[in-house]
Amino acid sequence: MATRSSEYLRGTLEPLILKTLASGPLHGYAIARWLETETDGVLAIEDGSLYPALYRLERRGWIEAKWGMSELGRRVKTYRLSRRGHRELERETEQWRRFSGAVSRVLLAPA
Amino acid sequence: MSRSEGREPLVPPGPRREVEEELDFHLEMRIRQYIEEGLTPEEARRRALGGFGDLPSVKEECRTMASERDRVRGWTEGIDRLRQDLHYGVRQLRNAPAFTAVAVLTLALGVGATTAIFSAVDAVLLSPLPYPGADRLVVPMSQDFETGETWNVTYADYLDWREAGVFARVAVYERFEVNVGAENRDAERVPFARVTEDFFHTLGVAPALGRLPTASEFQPGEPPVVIISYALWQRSFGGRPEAAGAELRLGGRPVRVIGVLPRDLSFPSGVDLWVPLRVTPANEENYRRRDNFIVQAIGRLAPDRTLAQTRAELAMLAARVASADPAAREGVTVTAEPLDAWLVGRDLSHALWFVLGAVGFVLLIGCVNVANLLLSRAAVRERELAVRGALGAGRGRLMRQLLTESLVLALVGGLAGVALAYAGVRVLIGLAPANLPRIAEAAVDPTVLGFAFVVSLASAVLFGLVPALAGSARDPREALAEGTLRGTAGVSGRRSRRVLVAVELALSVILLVGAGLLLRSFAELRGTDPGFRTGGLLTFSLSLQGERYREVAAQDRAFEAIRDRVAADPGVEDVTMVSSLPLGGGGFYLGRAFLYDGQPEPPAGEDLGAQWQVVSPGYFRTMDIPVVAGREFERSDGSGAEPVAIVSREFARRMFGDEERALGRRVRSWRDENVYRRIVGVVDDVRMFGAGDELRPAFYVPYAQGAWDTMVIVVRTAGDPAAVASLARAAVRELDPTLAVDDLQTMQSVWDTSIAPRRFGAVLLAAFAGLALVLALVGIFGLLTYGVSQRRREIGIRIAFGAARKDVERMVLAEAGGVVAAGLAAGLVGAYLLMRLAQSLLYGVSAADPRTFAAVGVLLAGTALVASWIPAKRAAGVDPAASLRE
Repeated sequence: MATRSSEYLRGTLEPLILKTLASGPLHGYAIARWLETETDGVLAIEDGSLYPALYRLERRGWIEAKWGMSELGRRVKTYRLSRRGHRELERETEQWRRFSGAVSRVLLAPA
Repeated sequence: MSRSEGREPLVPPGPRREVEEELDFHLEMRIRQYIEEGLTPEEARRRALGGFGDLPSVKEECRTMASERDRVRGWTEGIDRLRQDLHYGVRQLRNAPAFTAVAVLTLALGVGATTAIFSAVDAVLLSPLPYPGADRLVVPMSQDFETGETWNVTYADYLDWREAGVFARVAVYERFEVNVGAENRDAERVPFARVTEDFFHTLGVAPALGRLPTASEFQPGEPPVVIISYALWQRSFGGRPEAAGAELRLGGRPVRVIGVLPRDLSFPSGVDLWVPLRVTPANEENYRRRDNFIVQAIGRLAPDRTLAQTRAELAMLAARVASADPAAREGVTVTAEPLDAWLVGRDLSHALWFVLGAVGFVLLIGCVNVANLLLSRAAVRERELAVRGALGAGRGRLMRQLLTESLVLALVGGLAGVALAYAGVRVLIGLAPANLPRIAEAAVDPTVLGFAFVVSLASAVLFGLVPALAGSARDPREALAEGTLRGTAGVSGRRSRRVLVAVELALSVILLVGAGLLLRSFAELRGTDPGFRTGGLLTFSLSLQGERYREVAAQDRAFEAIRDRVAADPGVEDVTMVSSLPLGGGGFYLGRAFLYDGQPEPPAGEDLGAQWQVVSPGYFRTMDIPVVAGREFERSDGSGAEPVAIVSREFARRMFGDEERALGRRVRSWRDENVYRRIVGVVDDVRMFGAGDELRPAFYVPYAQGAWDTMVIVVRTAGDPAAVASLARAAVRELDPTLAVDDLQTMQSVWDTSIAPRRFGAVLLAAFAGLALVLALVGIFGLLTYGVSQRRREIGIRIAFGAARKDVERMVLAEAGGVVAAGLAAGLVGAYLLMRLAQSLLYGVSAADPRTFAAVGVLLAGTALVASWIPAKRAAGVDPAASLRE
């Protein structure tokens, strides 16, 4: 199951990160945890693919990073959605709606 | 959260540390999570690491992207910062409008004036003539050994040069004027040149249409042919190609047109026709004589010879001629001058270089001024910079900010300068005297403009950088302390600013003295007495050529008829004739050599050279030239009566000592007319070739005893002479429509033309000197104002402790006095040394003219005092209580 979901995940990790940040700034670990709990562990995201995705998004300017202090007094990098990231998220969501709708119509139709 | 000292900075430096720290944090959180979920620390750790798979390659991937991100961000941030800096810079400049206006104006004048003047000088002096290899063209001239005076050459000399192979090519020519008639057009009088075989080849021109004359067409007896100018081709033939082969009537004779020269060729200047010079048995004697300087020459240097070598060869040949024929050539050598220098003339080219030097001075003053302004401003802003530095702005950032400001300043100033350059060239063309060759072609040279623009940019950036370096190198604490406690700006900075202002003052003193001397020269020139009354005179010349006027009696009748017709008009007071006008106004100028009765011949250099002037009776009365001894010509001085002459005072003085002794003596022009003429009168001197001309001996003979076919008619009018112009034309047309009225002009315009070059130079230099003075005054005003504003606390304390306000005023004025005295002294000495080089440009005034020097000194000291008064008053008005609270 995990293998299967990670295959579906390949192209959707980035929109998911954007969506995660839409509700407010988070650091990398919090993003991972939020995705795990929101999806009830169905979408088990590997930490090894989360961070490259974050850096890619940051480079594209869709998310912005800021260094601040954690509650424990540690330096921590938190991410937030940029204006361009918001637009990108809307675009991706609309695309997903059309894609998944089409796939559902076909796959879920009575045979 | 505010930043505190001693702790690590919040942002880890570089992508490596960033990635490392971020992932470490993640791992730590994961391990903590797994332990909470019940794993042992070892298991938790293994599982957390497992989540990353290949950790090093994940890190590597992240690092690569972080570096890329940083690079892109660097660019965008740079642009952002530049925008911020620009914004801030513009705001700073707008907050200091006086500073900005003066600096921009200074830079604009620097760029604009320099470019405009240089473009003019470039067009007149530096751009090549429209002949291929024009830098190899020279003008050979005869020269007086002693005085250095130069004049025409002889045909015989020209033959020598050809034989000796002095030049690659050489030609001579004679200038005349001829009445030209073409189909269906009014006759016009046209300057033409008789040229020898190699003339066109020497210049290197090919005809635009038709052909050049063949060698045989330079032989006597061949049918006459003519080459015409592009302009005449357009005028007479409408630019039609059939012109080649068509006929023109020159002085009544039909001549075949064989070719048309290209549009830009005009040599000798103004000539429209070129005909082969043919030496015939009838005129051979004229050309053979070694003392008949009737031709002008043009030569192309031999490829293997320099100008100096060519001059040496010419001098050697001339020396040989002089020893073989001392009667004709004692004391005469031959030299050569480059064509372009010969065309412009020494005086004008001196004037242009002088003006260019003045522009350089103004540019220098401008740069000094901008430097001074920026330095003063930096001093004022020292505190601002220190505060910004203390608040965390980096040194680089501050320097960039100051540089941006200077750049904005330089760009605005430079662009204004570009506009000024274009306007300036137009003004110069309008202001230039008509006889300045090629000035009309002056156009802004983009290279020069670019150069001046870059120079202005560079100077602003450079001087913008100096305060930036000085300002940012200082310890902010010291700068702040100085600002609050001592209240005086850097002492060394003030000293260097004082020196700069003194330099500015000195440079403007030099310019002012130069302008003053030129203006006085111009005033002297305008005040010179031309020797006659210029107002109310109209002149035109008339040439009676052709079959109809072969008989002298026919000429006489024609001149008489025209005179009568013009004189009949009620607006005309008097009409007379002369062979050539004073002030270089036109006609045929002829120099002849005179001996008095009893002087031996050959005279060994004792003969007196004088202008040969043919005049009709009443000439002196009409021109208002006073007869100082004896009488004016009368109708009785006819062809049958005793040959008589009237001489000028200068003639009488040089030949006989004074005018009384000249009366009654007999004199002859021994080389040509050789007839003894009795001197019946002495008249006052006139300026023969221009307002600034020296006094030259003149020898007048009555027209009835030496008629010429070309004369200048002089009309004295009661009212505006220009109103009689159409009357003069009508009179000539009625008499003979084939005759051309030429050089119709008022004597006033001749006079104006003759003083125009000096007016040009004087006005230009005066403008520059005025500019320099204003800049220097701005400089001293700025120095004192900033000085006072910086010393408010000190002044306040002085006043608080009882210093009289008068004393404070005196203190500020004393500082001004020191700077002005130093600048003035240096400037006067500099002017004294420099102006001696410019003596040749001056007229009637010494280069060390004490009145000019004194006037400049008073002017500068006076204006500087006024400029210092405001800051002094401001200092005296300082409120001690307020200044201490600041």
